[in-house]
Amino acid sequence: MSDSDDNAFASADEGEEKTPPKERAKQAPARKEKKAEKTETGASTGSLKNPKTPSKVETAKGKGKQQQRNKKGKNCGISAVQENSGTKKSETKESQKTEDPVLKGGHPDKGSGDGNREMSGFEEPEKSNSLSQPAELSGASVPKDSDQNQDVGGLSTEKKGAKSLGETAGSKANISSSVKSPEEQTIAASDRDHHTPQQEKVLHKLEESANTGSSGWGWSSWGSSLLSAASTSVQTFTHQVGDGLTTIMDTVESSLGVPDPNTLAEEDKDKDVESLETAKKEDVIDDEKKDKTELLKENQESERAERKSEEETKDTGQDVSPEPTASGGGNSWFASWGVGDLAKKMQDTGKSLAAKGQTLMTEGFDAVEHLAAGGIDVLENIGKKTYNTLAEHDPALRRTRQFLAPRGDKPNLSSSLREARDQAEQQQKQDEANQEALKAHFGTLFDDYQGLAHLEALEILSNQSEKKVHSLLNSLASEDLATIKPQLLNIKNAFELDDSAEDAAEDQDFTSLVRQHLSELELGTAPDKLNTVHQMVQAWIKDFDSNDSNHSQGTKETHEKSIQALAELTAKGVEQFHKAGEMVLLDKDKDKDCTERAHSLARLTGVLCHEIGNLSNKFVACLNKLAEENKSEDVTRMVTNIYLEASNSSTYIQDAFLLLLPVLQHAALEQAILALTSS
Amino acid sequence: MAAGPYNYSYIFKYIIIGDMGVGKSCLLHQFTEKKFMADCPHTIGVEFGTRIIEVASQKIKLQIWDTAGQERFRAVTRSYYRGAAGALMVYDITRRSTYNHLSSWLTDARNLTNPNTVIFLIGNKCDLDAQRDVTYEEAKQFAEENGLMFLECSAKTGENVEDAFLDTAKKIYQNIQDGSLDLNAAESGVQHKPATPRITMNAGVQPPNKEGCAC
Repeated sequence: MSDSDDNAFASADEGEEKTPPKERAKQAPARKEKKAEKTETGASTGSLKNPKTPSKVETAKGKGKQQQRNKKGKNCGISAVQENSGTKKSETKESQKTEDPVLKGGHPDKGSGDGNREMSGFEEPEKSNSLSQPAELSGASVPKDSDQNQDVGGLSTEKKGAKSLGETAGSKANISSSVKSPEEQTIAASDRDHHTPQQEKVLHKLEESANTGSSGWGWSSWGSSLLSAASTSVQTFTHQVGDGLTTIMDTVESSLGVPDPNTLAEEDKDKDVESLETAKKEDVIDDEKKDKTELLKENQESERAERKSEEETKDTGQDVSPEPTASGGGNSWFASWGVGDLAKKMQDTGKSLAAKGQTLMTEGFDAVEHLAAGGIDVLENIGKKTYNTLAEHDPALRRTRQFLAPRGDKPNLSSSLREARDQAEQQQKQDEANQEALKAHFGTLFDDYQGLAHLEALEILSNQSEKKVHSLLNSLASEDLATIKPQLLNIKNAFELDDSAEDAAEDQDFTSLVRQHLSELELGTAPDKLNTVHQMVQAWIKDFDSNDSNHSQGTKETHEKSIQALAELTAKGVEQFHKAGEMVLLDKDKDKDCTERAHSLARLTGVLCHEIGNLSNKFVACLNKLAEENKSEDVTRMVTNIYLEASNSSTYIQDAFLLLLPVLQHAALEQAILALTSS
Repeated sequence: MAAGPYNYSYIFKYIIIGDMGVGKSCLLHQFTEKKFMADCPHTIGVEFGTRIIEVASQKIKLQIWDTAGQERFRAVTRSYYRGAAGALMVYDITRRSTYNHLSSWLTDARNLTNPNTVIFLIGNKCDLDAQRDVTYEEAKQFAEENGLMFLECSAKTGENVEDAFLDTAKKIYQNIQDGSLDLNAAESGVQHKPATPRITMNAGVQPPNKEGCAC
């Protein structure tokens, strides 16, 4: 036990390292106390290292009081050895009200020869009372505890238990010592102040319930009264915990149920004794233990009736226990072990009291007193643990309050996420709509087919040529100007487009006409791209016409296709003019009449515009056909759009053609100048 | 229409220059189509390519003018330098003559573009390392001497092609950001949030049309 206790304190020390110096200072005397007791009681070490003590120390109001208590503890320890339990009883009852650990440390039964073990045996339940809390809180089940308790007896398990005691004690010390909040300290202190009235209250309650008798001591009501008494002090915590209150109540109940002395004494008495013995590793007290066991048995007989009722209530308490999980087996086992100890202790108490001729009821109350103290401790520790858990990363529990408080109309994560998603969807729809719109947007499509780029390039050439024409004209002598001017005017006249030609609605052989006019230009440019696009468009229209009954395309698709076709054809037409302009400039030394070229280009323009008109008519016919098939659809807007874009298309082509005027004039001028200089 | 039909914030005008047959059109094709065009016809005058890229989370449309390398077109292609934000000057690492002509191209580029135009030197056909006629080092030195960015690329394998175009765009964007390139200047080669093209005169009519199309 000493080894395990060392472990316990090693881990407890670890826990303490996390505590503020203030608390450490408080705990230091506690250890001193234990050391003192160790020397005084000699054999027992377990009693001295009651983990209860540090927790009590924590809750002490001040160092001074603690020291005072230490003294008392020492005294009690001594008196426990020296005094008879009967006389000690009253004394301890008094002291208990203010100094619980002292009472426990200096229990009268120590005087009965096996005091050392008794003391340790008594202290173990205290330990387990508090120790079991973390275990229970973490899901350890009381029923399981009791089961394990029945199995207790093997030394190996005992050692394991001892080890787990060390661990549990460490963790407990950790938990309790990690209480940093000043509020917590105050509450704990107030809790202690309330002990006396609380305990009295509990006693009265117990008396009443015991007198009624039917349900033995009425553990449940006792537990609830205890809870209500304790709730004043832990109200803050339970209030914070909210839903966790139920769990706490259950835990309390099970905690209270656990230390039922009689059941355990009845069923596991021998085992308990054995386990205690092995756990303490005190060979010296073997005999004492056996004596005690006998005494216990006797005592048991006398208490049997009461015990049975207690057993029942205890069983119900165990049944209430809500967390029958398998986690923390060692801890929970130890908790049950501690329960056994407590049971034994209570039996011992009863025995000694009986020997003193006191009534069973008095004895029971005495035991209950311990339990009450223990129960309050349980509550206190639960409260502490809960508070710690909540307050660990949440000073003043602001976030917890916020979390538990009704949300109101404050936006939460899910709603904002939903909003963001909706927004994204809307954005996507917008983008898609834009993309859709772009599919039928003539300007964009014309740009995509590089029509704009060619137009821009052509514009650059045109502007340069225009400047060149001006500079050349300025540089020419008036006579030369007079000879050249008619040609320039002829070219300009050629660029006067004949609108009447566009009215011709009949079909034309576009491909051959384009080829013919381009060849007239003698610029070596082939209308390959233009013809390819035109053939594609014609093929599409033909395909549409031939599939009268089976138009998979809707009006929307047809409209898109129409606009695309117009844009592409226009772009290629502009590109053709751009190329022509480039070639005109490059071939300006050639002896080709620019006026003729101008006329050829004008005819080409006419052909292109005519074709655009024709195609738009065909597209509109397609749309109308679809509209007739699907009567619900209104294609008027699309038809208007197609005619509009067709006129746009013609405008682009005519613009491109007109941009060629300066280019041709430039070429003509240079030719003329060349001719003049050469002649 | 209110948001504009454009899904880009800038248009950068690029011009690709260099001797005939160095692979200008193939570089453009590789960049825009991610394909190698094996039998590329001679370019007449100028051809165009576009691709929208993203620089600093800004969508930028690259409008690339791929000029004819033939000497006879030079008079015409010189007209197209104006307003280029970036100039890709290409030579063929397997043909020294194309490298030797670089100074002439560079002179044109310097004279016909604005001072902020980013000029990027590209040594193309680096996949043909065995036939290399121009070392990387001398080209690198030439680039450094003339303040050019430089990369060896392969239009065939696509190596570094993307980088050449993107690095140019990044440099241009950087120039915009630090204010050295004035967007309002007519010849900057950069259009910001472009106005709708000429077709906008029909904008008033088009929205109802779109609604009609939305069926």
